[in-house]
Amino acid sequence: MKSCAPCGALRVWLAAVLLWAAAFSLACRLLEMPPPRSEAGRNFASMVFGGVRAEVSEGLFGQADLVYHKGVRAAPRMKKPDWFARMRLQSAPYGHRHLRDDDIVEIMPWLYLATRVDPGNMTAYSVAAYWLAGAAGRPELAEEVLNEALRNNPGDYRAYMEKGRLAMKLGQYSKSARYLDAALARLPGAAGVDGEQKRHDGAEMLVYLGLAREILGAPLAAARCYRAVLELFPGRLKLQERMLALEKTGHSPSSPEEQARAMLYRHGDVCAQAEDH
Amino acid sequence: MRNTLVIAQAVWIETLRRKDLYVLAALLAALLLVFVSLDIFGVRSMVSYIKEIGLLMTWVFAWILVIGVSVRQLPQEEKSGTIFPLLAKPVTRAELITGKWIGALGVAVASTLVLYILLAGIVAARGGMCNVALMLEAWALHACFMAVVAAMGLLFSTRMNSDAAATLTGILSFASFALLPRVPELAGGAGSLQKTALMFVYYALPHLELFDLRQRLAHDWEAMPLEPFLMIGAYGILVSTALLALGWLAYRRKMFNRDQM
Amino acid sequence: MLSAIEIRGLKVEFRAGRKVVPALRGLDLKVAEGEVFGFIGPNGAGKTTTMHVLLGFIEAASGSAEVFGEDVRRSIARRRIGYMPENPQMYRFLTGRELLAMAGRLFGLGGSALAAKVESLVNMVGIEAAADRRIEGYSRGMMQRIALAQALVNDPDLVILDEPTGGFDPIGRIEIRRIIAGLRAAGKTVFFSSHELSEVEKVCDRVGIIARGILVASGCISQLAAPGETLEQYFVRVLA
Repeated sequence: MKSCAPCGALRVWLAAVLLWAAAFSLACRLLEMPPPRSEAGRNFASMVFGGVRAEVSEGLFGQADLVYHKGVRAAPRMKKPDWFARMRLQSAPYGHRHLRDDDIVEIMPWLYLATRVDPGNMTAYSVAAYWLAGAAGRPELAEEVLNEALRNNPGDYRAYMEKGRLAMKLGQYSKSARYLDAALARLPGAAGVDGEQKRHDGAEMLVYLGLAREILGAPLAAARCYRAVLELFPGRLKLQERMLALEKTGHSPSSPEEQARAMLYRHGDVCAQAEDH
Repeated sequence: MRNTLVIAQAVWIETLRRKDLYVLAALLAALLLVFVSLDIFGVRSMVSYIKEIGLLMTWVFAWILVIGVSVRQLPQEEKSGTIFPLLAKPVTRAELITGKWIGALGVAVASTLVLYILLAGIVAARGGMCNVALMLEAWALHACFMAVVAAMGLLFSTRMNSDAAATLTGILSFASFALLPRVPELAGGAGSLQKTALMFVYYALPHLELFDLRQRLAHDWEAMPLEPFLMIGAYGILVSTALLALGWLAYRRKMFNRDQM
Repeated sequence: MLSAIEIRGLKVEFRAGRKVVPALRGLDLKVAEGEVFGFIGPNGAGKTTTMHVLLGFIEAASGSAEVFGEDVRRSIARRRIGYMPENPQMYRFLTGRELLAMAGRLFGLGGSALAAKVESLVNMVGIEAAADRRIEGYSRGMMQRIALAQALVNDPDLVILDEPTGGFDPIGRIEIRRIIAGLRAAGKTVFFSSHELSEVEKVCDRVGIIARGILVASGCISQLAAPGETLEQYFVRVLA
């Protein structure tokens, strides 16, 4: 009986691939890395990558950023570029570009993979939800993404914060207020987020909560939120003005809906400020 | 030229009749299919990641294939003894080396062309588009990359067995691709002797990263301007020729004696 | 008359670590055009080394070797040579016909002339049934036959055969003798080595005995051996 030559070759290749994957996974698990961000939502990918899943997930998130910047990598430039450096500038993408709003969904696969590898990667969930709700015009998908983030990270304030922002975008102000309250309740005990980030997030949530309370007709409650922000960041004069107006007259100088919209749809163009692409 | 093409044709026939080429392609196709089938947050219209992953797989496939085919040629002929009836014909060592190179390169280039076309088809089926001119440029420069790696593999195989040649070619080509662009940055902070050594390596090794147009293709940039495209292509031809010449120099006086093998 | 093979003072050395091992120590040999020359000797005497010098596989340390007046180091010298190695190995992924066609193309043959040549060789060596099968499935005898066929594809003026009857049964050996006789009749020169001295005796015009890298005897068997002495007996006597 003739042996099947393709089957033999297939067996060898499959064995080689499986052995390599097993060795890689073992290496990942043997590395002494900090504990994963979330014990929830363990899946096959997170089991393969073990303790390095956070790093792999960050790498995939970085790939999403690269796609957002249309493949242009930040790289040091030679002062006097030689022929090779000049040719590299021609063959690789160069310059500072971003994806158009129509194409923003192109970053989703990498954010998706980042969350598969590490379900505790809230940044990936947040960014995915932000763009789905915004430029991609798919708020219902953004809600599903955040629901998944909540399921995998029930104690993480950021999941509630994003749900609150999304509800506010959709005009669901009381729902937004409930989520922001839940987020603020979880903020003090949040692990894995540095203190400065918590301070900024806390301030942002309080501003949103204040605007939601204004819209829902509770000006004094809104003013209390703004006062809490000013305790964190005393120099915010416009906010102080708003707070004082609410306390005095029950009305703010500008429409809370417009203010919320301006905040929610502002894309902090940090690229323009600092990075040289 | 005729003898060169006859020898190349034998390489093509052998590779096509080996099963592992198809198995490798099937494994890669299966992997790509997995990525294409993902339900990504309920959104379906993305194509950039398919291009990126597909192009990465194509490059990995081509890299494995071109090294595997090129490093095998001469050691296999010597080990099996088929070198004797071959060199007993009016075939020069230069024709032998060039024929093997064209053979290895031809297999790799044809295989990658099929993969590029397949990838373009998958992208089109998902409603995306590939810039045809850029795709042709990318494939042409990819062919230059494979030409250099094939020449490197053949050069090492003139004096080593196929396993050693494959390892060395793999390491050198990967290092040239991934690390060479960073060498000036490393040299900046090094002492003068180290700097000289690093810059020697920088200029001596082939700059394979120049042939990589994947990012342009994956992220829908315009085609590369013609002048740098031609210059990089010429650089690839020059480096391949230099490596082949070194291979010929290493091989032309090599003795083959049945009793010694 | 031009010699088919002319070797003068040929020395070949191999390196074994630091040691230099002489394989040929000043070999002088002439083979006339159109003759069948048997090149015999004990194992390690230098028979295959001599052939490899003639074919350009090895460079001599000193001395010269020419084939039809052409220095063997030039590839053009091999245009008129056909070679069948000992224990031949051919490309296993090709069929017999494909191998012969490839060999023919390396000599510049093509088209219908090549196709006709391939068919005639397939018939000559008796592998009609296996010609379209891949060589990887050939027996040793079939491998010898296809190797002989590829050696004759260019209608060579000099045929170099290294142990041509190895792997053949008695009927096969008779066929080989018939082919060699046919080559002689066509005016070709045949230079072959063999351990089958009875076969050498039956086909050769002249023999040369090589031992330890030098030619110890050369000439017609009838002139070398004593009356009633076989070549084998003479061989043993000379080497003793």
